Amino acid sequence: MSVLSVKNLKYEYSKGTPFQIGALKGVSVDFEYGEIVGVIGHTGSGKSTLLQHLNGLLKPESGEVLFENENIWVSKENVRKCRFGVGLCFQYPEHQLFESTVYEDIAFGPKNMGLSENEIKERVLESIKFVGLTEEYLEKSPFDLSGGEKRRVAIAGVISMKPKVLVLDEPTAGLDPVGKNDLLDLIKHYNKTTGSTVIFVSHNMDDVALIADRVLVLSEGNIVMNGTVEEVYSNGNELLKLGLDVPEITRVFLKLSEEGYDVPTDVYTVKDGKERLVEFLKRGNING
Amino acid sequence: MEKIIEFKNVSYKYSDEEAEVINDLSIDFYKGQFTCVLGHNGSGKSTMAKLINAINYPTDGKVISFGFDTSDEDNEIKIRQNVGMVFQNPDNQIVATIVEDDVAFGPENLGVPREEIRKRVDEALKIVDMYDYRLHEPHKLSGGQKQRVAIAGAIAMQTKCIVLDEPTAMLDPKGRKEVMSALKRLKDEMGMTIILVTHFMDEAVNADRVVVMNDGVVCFDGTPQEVFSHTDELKKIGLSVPKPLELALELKKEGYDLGTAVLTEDAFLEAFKKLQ
Amino acid sequence: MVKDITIGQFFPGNSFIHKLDARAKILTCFALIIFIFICKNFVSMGLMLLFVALVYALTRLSPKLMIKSLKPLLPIILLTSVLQLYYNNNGDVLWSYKKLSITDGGIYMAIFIAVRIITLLVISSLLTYTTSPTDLTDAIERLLSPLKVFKVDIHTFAMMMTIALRFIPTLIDEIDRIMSAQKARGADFESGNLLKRIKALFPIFIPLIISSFKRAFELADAMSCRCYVGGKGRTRMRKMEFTYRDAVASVITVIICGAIIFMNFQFEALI
Repeated sequence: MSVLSVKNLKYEYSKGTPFQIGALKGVSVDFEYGEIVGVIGHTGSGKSTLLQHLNGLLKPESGEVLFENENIWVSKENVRKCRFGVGLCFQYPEHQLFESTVYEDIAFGPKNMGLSENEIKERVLESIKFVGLTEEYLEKSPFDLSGGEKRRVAIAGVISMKPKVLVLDEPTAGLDPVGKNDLLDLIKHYNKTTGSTVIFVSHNMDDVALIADRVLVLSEGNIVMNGTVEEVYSNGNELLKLGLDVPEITRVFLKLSEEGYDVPTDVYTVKDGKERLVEFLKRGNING
Repeated sequence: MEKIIEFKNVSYKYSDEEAEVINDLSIDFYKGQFTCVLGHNGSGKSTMAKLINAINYPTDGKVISFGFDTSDEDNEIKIRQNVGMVFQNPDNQIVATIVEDDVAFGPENLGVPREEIRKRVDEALKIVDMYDYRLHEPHKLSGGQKQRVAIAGAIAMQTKCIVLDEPTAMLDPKGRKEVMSALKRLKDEMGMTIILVTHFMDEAVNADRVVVMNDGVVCFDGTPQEVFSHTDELKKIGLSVPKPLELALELKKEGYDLGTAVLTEDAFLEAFKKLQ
Repeated sequence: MVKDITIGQFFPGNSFIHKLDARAKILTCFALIIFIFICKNFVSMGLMLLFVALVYALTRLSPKLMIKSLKPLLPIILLTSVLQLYYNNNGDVLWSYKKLSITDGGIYMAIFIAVRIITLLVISSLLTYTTSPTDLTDAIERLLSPLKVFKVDIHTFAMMMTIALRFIPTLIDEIDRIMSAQKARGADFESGNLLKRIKALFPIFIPLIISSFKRAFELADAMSCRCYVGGKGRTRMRKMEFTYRDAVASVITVIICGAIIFMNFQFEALI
């Protein structure tokens, strides 16, 4: 059983006007328990629209969203269940912080779920740990923190609802390389410890390569690729045609392959790249 | 080369209680150069950018921009006429409700005659490839388009130098490419001096000069090849290096030397051919 | 959601009306609005309505547009008319129930008032539909510039208006985004009593205020980087010129206004 499924989802923005950016034209996809899925696509490909359907923020015009095999739009309760079961963290989530202390802000979601004080406290403590901050932060004002710390607190505010699926829209946007890698490590760690499914959108192909088990590629409202990282990145030229980037290392191998060197193109890490090239050089065969 | 901006033992802190963000910094910038300033968040690179055109004044030392001391308030307008600035958030630097009116904002403030403004605005919009959008409303543009409008706004003031403070941090890959190619045209066609502050190292590979900042001081300063060859040190201060170079350095450990000038996939290919 | 709200809509076009100088448009619209209240009977009001309809046709904009924007205001128009029906007891009683009575004078008045409000709305829409916000603020700045004699800072006022117009769509987007983000954390804006609903707004307004301040500071920096020091010594790229079109429009407006006064004398006054 999939934890979350989308069946033939259609959605159109500003019906009847020429502005139909971000529409979905019949998307079907399943998300399994415990996997990390990277979603890529350029601006306006419909990826943000898809994300907002996953937790019932947008109502599909046609098609269904199933959370644990139940159509979320059957009843108000189902929508509510899905809202908390699928935690959605928007782009630049630090812009949603509003409480006077970090504790209160992280507790906002659990409070809305109607949990007891004790349970809320437990969840806040657990969540702040997951995002790699200490308990000392809890009494601080979120507005006194650095940009990267704010981002973590905001993500903790979603994790604290203990969602079965965590959905993140460009979680690393605006972070520097170290901040980026730290955050991706935390997401991976969270996924491994809790077994929650993680779905995240990124413009950065190297980010996706680093932690995703599976990659979805959206283009003009349709899913055009769906497979393992290797499978998707081996179609480097297709991705470039869609106006998307490919990881830097993949670009190197595509270039070598174009020149006639007999090298694989499903390579995307430095480590793997080195091994493949050493192997190639030892064989000593040149076709180009 | 002609020195246009000079930092002389500059220190800067936001308030007396806080530590220095810029610490005894001395550096010069030269005419016509494309300089890329790299550093992680909080390294002091943005603060340095704002010191150049008198948004920030040094707490210690002196910044001389185009011969004017930035600490002297009377010089403010003269400095900003020479040094334009583009900021990170594309939404928060566009003033007018129509693209061409926004580009005209700077020259209007300088009291440039009407016909001259018209001419400058059209030329500036053409250079950044936004002329077709001159009558559009800014809020309907993409991030990359907004940033190009902001760049046009500086060009229309006929500044001699443009400082860009993380202009691509909030853009998607397409927007980043648009901004980078606009900057390239600015340098190639107008000979504009460009100081680009960023944490994306791939934006630095084609620069004339790369300056790496950490804890308010400059730790590397040289050509991209020179700077990026310090792979381990760069990683230690939170920066990445171009992946082709990283791959080449790994191969070197295995006995295959591709050199250190392999910052792009094209350069990698060339070096690889020679290896064969 | 919030995005459906559109304020000061402008529909670009190439019609005679679009091409008029914004100052001429403001002045003629102003004159026409005053003359709506000078109209004293159906003949003069009818003339006014006819003229306004004709001008609207000249803009080549769809009548549906106007009808759509009148729709939300319909309850207000109806309420005002019904109140007239109730309070105006002139003329013959047509129908009465206890203290309540409806007279033919009341019905005329109710219709007259409804037509008056609709005409007023159409005239002001004509101005905003065909004039870009920039032209509008520019025109206001230039029209009010004589007030500088009294040390009124017209330039700052116009600049504030421009920035407000520029940032309204940005802020609407932002409210939308923050609302969605808080909803995703289970915030509920649609149920509960008044106090609860007001409390539910905090998670939206606090982030909104914080980001607005940030925007304001950044914008201030960006403006001073572009040598903005207020209105002194500024030139303008936009030309504002009265052309033959504006002369034609002004003359026609004067003729219509004259005709309205004439009709007021010729026919019996309703008010």
